[in-house]
Amino acid sequence: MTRKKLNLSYITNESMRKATFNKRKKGLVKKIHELSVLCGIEACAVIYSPFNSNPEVWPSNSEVKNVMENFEMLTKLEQEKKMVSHEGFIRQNISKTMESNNKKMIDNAERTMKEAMFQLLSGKGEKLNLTDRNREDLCKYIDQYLKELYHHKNKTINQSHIEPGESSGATNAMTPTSVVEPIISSIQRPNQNPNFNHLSHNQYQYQQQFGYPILVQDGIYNPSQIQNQHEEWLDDHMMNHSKEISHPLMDDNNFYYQQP
Amino acid sequence: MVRSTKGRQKIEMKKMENESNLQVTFSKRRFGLFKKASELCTLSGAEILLIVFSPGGKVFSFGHPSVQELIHRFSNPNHNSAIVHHQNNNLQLVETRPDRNIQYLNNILTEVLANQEKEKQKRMVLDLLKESREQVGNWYEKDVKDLDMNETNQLISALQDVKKKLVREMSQYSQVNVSQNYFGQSSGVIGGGNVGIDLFDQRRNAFNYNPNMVFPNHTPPMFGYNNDGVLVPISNMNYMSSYNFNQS
Repeated sequence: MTRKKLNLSYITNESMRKATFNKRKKGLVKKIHELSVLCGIEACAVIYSPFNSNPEVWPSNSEVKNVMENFEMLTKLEQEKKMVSHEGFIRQNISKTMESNNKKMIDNAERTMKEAMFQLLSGKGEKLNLTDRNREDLCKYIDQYLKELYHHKNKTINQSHIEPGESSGATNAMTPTSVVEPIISSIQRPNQNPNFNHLSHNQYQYQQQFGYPILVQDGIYNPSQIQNQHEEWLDDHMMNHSKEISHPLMDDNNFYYQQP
Repeated sequence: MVRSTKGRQKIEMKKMENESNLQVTFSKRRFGLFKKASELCTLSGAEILLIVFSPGGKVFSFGHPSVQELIHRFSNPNHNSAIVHHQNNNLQLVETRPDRNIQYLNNILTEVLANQEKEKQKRMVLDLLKESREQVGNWYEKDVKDLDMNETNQLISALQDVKKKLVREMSQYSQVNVSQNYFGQSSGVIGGGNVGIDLFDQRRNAFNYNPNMVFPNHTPPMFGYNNDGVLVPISNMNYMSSYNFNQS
């Protein structure tokens, strides 16, 4: 007797439905029995049917009550964490099977590409009735395979090039830095005192106006210039600053020229 | 001959000693048990309650219509009028109108399982092809890591040539505006090197199933395109329904 593929839907014929129910009910009871024995666990089953007012129970009425009491003692959260309805279980089954199918499809696609690639290498490409989409996918797979080959090739080359005893060192090039140290000489001529006083005054005024010391102060200690150049440089510097900054400094300059 | 897997092999009906095997066995058999209960509910309209405590102490339960309802019913058997009334309603409900959501989900499940079977068959075909190829034993079919330098270089050149050929064929076909549709079937013949197997089947789109999807009240068309335009798995390749699923 050949097994006939069963349609997973409600059986409309009542006698057939009843026969199927009784047959499968026994199978279900057998399965829960096996599960509880193999894993050493507690379990129960209650089966209501349209054909009988009293439910079928496994293992027995008292045991079922015991299991139900244990179930009720758990928190609501623990009860519902692994609880499924008929609809919920079918949804879970669909998701699980679809996920498995996707993995199988991907694996089969890769293996198909591999077989096709080897057939093309063997010169049997004519037997493959390839579409453009197939060719495109095949090119991608060949790219991936070539990448593996290049990786393998590089690894082989690196292994053959490693030789013991070879040493390499860095060249130490020490370039001496020429350091020019400024020489400070003190200005001791008494004729310059009024100028210094003036500069101090000017510098003080500068700080008052702009809140930071005037840069010309550094020029005082530049010994490389001769006396006349020194004075000229100072004047030029002041003029530049006055142009850059503001008019009040011009008054100072005028005041300076009024001195002699 | 020692078996590599446990398929079609009787096992001793006593508690398992190996803890890891125990866990795996529980997981598999618990799923199978719930599956059988689900099928029985579908086929005969029975209402079944299952409560199973795992070896780790967790509780797994299956109930149709619901676990709570069946526990309550079992705990209160003396409400005769309620039972009789419910039984009458139940009979009437079962006779006239099975649950449409359940029926719809079962249809999807049937299709998904059919796809699973197809993939398994395709895998068997590929296994046969691989076996016949390995009998010939071409050098370039070895694992990549087993190739030496000379073989690696040769294979790289050969693959680059194959790729150029494929690209040339693609551009050639696009110029001619030939759209070649291939609808082959997988069939395997064991032979020495000459295996006439069509490797490329019609491409299938993966259906992104949403477990929380809510189905319409009326009975929808069997299958069609969902909102993303992805083709839902269908048993008939020529089915051209344009029904859209309702997203909640």
